[in-house]
Amino acid sequence: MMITLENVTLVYGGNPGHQALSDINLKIRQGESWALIGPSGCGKSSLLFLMSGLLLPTTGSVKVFNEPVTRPRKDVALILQDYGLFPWKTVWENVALGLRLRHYRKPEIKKIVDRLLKSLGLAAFQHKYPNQLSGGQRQRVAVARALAVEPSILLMDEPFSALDALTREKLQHMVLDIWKTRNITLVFVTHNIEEAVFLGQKIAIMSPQPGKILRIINNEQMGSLDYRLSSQFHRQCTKVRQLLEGK
Amino acid sequence: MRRHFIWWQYLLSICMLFLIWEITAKLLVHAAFPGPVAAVTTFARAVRGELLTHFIISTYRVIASLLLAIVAAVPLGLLLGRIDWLDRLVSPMVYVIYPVPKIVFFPLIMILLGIGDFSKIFIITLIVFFQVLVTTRDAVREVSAASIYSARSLGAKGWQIYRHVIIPACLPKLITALRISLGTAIAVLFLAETVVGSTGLGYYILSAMYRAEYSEMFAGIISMGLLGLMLYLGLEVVEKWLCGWQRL
Repeated sequence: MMITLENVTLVYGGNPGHQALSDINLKIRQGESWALIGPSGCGKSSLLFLMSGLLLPTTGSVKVFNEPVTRPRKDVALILQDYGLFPWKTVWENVALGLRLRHYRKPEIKKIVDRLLKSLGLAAFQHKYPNQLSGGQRQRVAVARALAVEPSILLMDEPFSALDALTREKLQHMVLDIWKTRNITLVFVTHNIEEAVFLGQKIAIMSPQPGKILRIINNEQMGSLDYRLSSQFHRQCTKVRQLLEGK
Repeated sequence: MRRHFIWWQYLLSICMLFLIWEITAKLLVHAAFPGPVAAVTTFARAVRGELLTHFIISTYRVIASLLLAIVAAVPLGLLLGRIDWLDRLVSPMVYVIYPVPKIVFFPLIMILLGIGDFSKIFIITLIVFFQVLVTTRDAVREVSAASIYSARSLGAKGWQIYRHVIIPACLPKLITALRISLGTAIAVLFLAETVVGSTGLGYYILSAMYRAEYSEMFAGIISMGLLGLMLYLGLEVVEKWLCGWQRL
């Protein structure tokens, strides 16, 4: 099992604190794509932070490859909601940062970063700073930076929330392609039902205060670009919407 | 958007300043207030003599003070901004000392450190130190949690978080603090140089006043202005070099 969460609760602050997550149990297999969807404040992002090792559970356990997660792992990459790019670093430096921190040798860093920037259509922007890029370009840089360290698990926190519909769709196709070609395990948080159904092989519906997993929907038919046009896609969207509305 | 350095704008400002100066001198008609032509002529002559030496000494004192203040205050500010228990321990002391006008300690500093360069550098450093310390600490506190999470998720730890996130994020505010401190530093330098010693622009200006050499006095004032402008432009260059991303 790639990621396992057992009886996880998360409480923020002191006594009594705010309970963000309650009794979360999840088993995510290698190569699966999971969408976490739910209303604001249901702890979706906290759940992602637990998997990344940036937060530790108050009770219960979070394991990756059967090892308890106590700190950020080298094989897990996280893309934050606002891309998490550093405005003082160029596109190239942002993408190279993870490799630098892992003490890769300079020629190797150059090879990996140049290849990634080229494959994601960012080569022309390598000397630009993030605030010189559009939202879609920034998101691609964030994806490039995450992929540079060749993670086994890619976590994304509302990756496309700030983008227009067309850019969002293009990037969803890009992520789908990455997931399929790199045999990566993908877990992402979204507010968007269509996004969850298009990209999520499994869709975990969450309820708020405290955040719980309400239901897990199998969505095995996903994986092709024209899935979006199928009647199954629309049926799944309706199903997710009804569950979110508590019907 | 921040303005880039444009030389003709500076030239135009200086011309305006000289025009106002000329008009004021004509209206005042006082020996102690010569017009810009007399002052600049004297400056051009004096700068080939001892004025240049005084200028270099004052420049050295201000730059040494600013560097010492940075070396002492920035690391401490970086730590206070991140380590709560240390901040709780040190900040009350800072709050007590910060509002006290440090210049009142100058007589004591002269007694303890002598009347040479060191006491003058020390008093300026002391004043700039607190301004830089408080700015750095507050700037560290304002670094977004998301930036730090982002770096940590990439594997950054300890010093690497400072190196790649906190220091670059704080640099623009630190340079602004230095720019503000610069005015204070030069004012304190003038005061310190007039109180004791026989070197520096403060001494030169006051000595010219006692000798009723008013054009010479204004040559010293022009030098003091040039010193401020030179350091200000120096900081602009440093800012452009280190924080160029902010201007895009």
